[in-house]
Amino acid sequence: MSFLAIQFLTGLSGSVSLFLMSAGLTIIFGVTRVVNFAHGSLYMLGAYIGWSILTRLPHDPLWFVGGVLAAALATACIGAVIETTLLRRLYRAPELFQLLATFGVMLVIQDLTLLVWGPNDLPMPRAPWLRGSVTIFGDHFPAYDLILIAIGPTVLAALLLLLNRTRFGMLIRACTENRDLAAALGINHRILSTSVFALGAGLAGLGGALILPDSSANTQMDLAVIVEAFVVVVVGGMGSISGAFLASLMIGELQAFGIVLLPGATLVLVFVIMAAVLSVRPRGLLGDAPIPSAVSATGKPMRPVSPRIQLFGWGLVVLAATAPFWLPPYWLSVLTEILIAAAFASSLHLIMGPGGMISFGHAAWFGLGAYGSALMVRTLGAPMPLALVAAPLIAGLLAVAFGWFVVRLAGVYLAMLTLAFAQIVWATATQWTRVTGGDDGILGVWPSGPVPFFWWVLSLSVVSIWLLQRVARSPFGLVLIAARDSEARALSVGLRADRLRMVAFAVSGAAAGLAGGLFVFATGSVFPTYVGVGKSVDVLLMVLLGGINTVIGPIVGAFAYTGFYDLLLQTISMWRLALGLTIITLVLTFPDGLAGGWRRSRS
Amino acid sequence: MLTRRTVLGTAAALAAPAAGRAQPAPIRIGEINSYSAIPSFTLPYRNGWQLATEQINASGGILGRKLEVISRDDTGKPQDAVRLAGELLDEQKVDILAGGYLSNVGLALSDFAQQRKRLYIAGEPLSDALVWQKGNRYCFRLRPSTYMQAAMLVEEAAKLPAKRWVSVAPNYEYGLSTVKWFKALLSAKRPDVTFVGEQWPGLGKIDAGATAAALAEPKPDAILNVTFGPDLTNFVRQGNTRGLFENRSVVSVLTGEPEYLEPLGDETPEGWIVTGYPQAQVTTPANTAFIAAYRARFSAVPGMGSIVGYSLIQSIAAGIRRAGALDADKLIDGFSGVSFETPFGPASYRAVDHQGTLGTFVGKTALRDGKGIMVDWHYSNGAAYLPSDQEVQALRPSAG
Amino acid sequence: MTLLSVRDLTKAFGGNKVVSGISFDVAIGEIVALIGPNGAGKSTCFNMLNGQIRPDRGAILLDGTNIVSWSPDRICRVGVGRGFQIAATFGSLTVRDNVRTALIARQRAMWRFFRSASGVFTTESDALLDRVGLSLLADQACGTLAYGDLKRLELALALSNQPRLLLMDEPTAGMTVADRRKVMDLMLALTRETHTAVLFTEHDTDAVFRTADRVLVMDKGALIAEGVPAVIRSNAAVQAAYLGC
Repeated sequence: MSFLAIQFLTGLSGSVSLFLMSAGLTIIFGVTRVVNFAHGSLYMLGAYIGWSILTRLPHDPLWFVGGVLAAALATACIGAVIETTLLRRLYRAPELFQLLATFGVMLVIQDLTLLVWGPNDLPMPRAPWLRGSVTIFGDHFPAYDLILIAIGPTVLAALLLLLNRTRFGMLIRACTENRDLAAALGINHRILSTSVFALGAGLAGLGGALILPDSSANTQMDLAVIVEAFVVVVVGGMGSISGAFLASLMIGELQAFGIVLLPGATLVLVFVIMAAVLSVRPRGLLGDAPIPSAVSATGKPMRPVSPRIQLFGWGLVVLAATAPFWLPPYWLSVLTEILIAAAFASSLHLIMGPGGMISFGHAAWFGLGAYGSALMVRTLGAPMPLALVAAPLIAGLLAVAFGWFVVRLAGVYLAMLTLAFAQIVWATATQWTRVTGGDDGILGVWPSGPVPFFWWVLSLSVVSIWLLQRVARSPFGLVLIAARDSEARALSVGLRADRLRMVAFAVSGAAAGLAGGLFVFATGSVFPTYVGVGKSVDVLLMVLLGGINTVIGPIVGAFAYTGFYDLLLQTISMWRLALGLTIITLVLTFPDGLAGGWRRSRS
Repeated sequence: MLTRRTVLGTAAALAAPAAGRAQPAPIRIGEINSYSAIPSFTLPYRNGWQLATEQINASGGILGRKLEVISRDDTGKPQDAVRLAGELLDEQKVDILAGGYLSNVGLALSDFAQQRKRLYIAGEPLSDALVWQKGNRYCFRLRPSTYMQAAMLVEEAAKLPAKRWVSVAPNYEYGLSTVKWFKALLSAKRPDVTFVGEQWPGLGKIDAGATAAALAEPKPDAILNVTFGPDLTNFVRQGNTRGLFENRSVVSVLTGEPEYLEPLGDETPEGWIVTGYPQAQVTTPANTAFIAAYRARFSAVPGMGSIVGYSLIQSIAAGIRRAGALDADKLIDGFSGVSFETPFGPASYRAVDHQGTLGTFVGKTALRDGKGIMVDWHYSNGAAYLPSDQEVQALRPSAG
Repeated sequence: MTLLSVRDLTKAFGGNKVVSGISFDVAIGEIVALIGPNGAGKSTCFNMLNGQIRPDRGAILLDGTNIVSWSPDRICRVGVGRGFQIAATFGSLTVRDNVRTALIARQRAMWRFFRSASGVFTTESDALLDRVGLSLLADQACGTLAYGDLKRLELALALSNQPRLLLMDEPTAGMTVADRRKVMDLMLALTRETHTAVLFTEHDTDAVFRTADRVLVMDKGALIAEGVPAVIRSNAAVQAAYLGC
């Protein structure tokens, strides 16, 4: 009994920083539609700034409160700067393009934090009053955790008051529910967006500063929280603050009790919860706002590839085929990787462009193909060609099964369900050690020689990309785009949008699986990192960077991103700063993506 | 900080430009580590190998040639590590690969090295598989593995009266295998011991309060802790406030290493049995000289990472000297059984499994002037905590 | 000959009966208007007919087959075309590709993965566009069309499966007066030509009385009157419920 009560209270206190994070995220999303990848960075900055302030202040409670609020305020200011200098310029760009920009911001903040505060974890020495405990049912319970438990509902009440009783709040709600209407009513969207972003950033900063008595400020905390915060936002229902509160409580409690019942399930618990909630309630617990279509439905038409560019492309393929004769071995391996990335990105483009479905978990298919072919070779002794046949089959089949669930969702909810599935695959890869080798992976899956392998990669990637492009231009591709533009109209001319999407998912999954299979032989091994969030984000960035409205976008994006990343990694140590600034510059210069921008500059 | 393309004994090279031209080409080491992902360990580590490189070059280099280290950031991902290893071999023409922090990066590099038939000297990766199950003749490893660290701690743990144990470890390979070995080795020495609970928080994502409460629930006598870094700070703070460590023994891996002990500050729990590095308390001539040189060069106190970086380069220099040449077969012969000097004292690479015999310090934590330190420590030589050669050979199926 | 017969159709939302047990018929080739004040239940009734909402009770017989709770795409495939209050088209496609999409769907040709879409049903698409007078705009992106043209395109889409029954929810909503008349006349001309029955809702009473063969009047979820336009115009109950206000 006492244990249950303690664990319950622990779950409550654990949910508070999650709530503060996700409340900010959900308000920002509601008003600006920005999926703010840099929200974890703001949380981290809140902690670091809080550390800098609090370690210089006297150690009594009032100074603590003042210091925490000052940290939150400082983070809010940083948020306002990010919004006014960067995001404001991007609201007209296709949705999700801002995600690219916030990803750039995240990279920049990571390196700046390292520069300013150094590599070591920074723990704030706890004042005696922060170390105290109260006795509950005979067990010690931290007094500070009780304070945290009170802060959650207080912030919720303050936010609800703000939303329901003030003009500012009314404007926020109006914009969340209907942006066009709000604009028609003459609401000044610029000021509102800036202040909402600052508010969200301030909440993240508050959350970051409040963890200092429990934890240290460290350079890994941004990535540690961002994904879970997204989960909370989605489970709660996007744009709903009460939903975020409810979801954070639920996840806090399930985690507190989950680790008692299933100690090994820590890696997947939240994702299984999310998948379960979304399959019952496709808009989260309290989400009733209309789901914004992920890829703008008023969308610009897909641009056909002109014959001249096609010819140029085939010319490049022929040139690439001769590469082993003139390209040094390392650069051949870079080209190999870029080709695989282009095939991978093209597979995502099919579901994101024509299909209108964003995936935050496309690495799942890549990874399934990779593990599939590695296991074929290592356990069945299959030759490479056979393994490369198996890779797309395995990934494609599982994509069909998963597609059946996922096509019933839309927008960011769909994206988060793909993330949940990818995380489940990742956790399986990590924990099913007997088959997958766990973190140590499967090693020694090398092709016979780098040059013949390069030709394999070149031909299979080109064929895969060519087929994907043909599919996008086929009758199937056309009706897929149609179903994206207007599902109701598609149904009323006799098209089953869900089936079309499911098939698109399967084709895309199979193509990603092939890319994964190739990648295994390029690196000689497979690890859970191939299924990790990072891999999914990489491919998403490639597609967005290249531009979503043309089939050559993902190819351009893959070349630019992979090539530049590889180059930076081998030349400078602050590669994150450089990559982040480059992404931000590109996003501001080419709001249609690289391929789109190039085309625009010609016309 | 911005560029590290050519970190070598710069001072020496620049001081004598005329002579530099006449000198033979330097021996190049291609070094890869998780600089951006794990900066708190890898930045002191970088200082360590820089210091060693400078010292070696100042005293005339190896085989009459300077030593040059070309370093890359693997970002914590094995696939990037493998690609960069290719760049180092093919573009930078390095003679030996070295480095690694994460076990899977180490394993990927080891497999790549075998594929390319070049040497890879792992510094920090602790996975047993690196020299055993997945060991190969091209790979050597410096640090005591998870098995060895567990064995060193079990020696002390077996002396405790505690019978009911719980464990908490990060939910990945390092945590899993440390707990596995600790259980196996302790149970062998103490059949009366039972393990009554375990917690596996995600790396960097510990829910410390809930974990602490869940560990206390089965009323254990003792706790095995394998968490480190930010997770450890959270865990210790919640454990302190909740009284988890009161009247319980705690055995904790790596916690005595300055990188992980320092952040605990005045909340360092006393009496934990830990592995680590008591820094200036170790007054052997080797360690004192190392600390003095490190301080003079970087105005900082070395951490465990500094020791690893420094010893790694020293061991490579010794191996090359003994081999007398740079082709892989000669190098393998040279490295197998080579002895080298480290701040911890002499160590060697065993011929049987290419495992380094570098040990670590085992002691207890204590608080002095608001800081955590190690007390009652002793040096555990790695050579004493390894299974017999026969057992090792059975564990090393692929390497022969 | 009866084409559509609706029997006892009922739907409640949260205990609120929005449509309560209405029954009516539509004959082959007949043009029927469904009118009533706002909130009378017209849209709900329509959405049950086209499969978007599942009724609580009742039957919808198309040529004798009960299509209650069929999905919209299946209803389409048995010969029901549909227009929306706010024109629903495929915004990023050209006008021709909009129609081509509908024809691909009709011919079940969407599982062709490796042909070029631009090579299928081009002549058929252009013929259909010609009928609605959009030939000149065939290559325009549909997002750039004027609203009147968008409604024409929608009509082309609704007619693409050569429906026996066309359901149009306020076909002239949001249009200029001049456009209303043109689109309405176009709809009539096309459906008379193919002997397609039409059931439409409309607020513009002039349009209703000018075009409909028969008028159904709904109020508060029930059918309160039914008859030829002249009769309905002079019906006291209808005037009280609807025309009066």
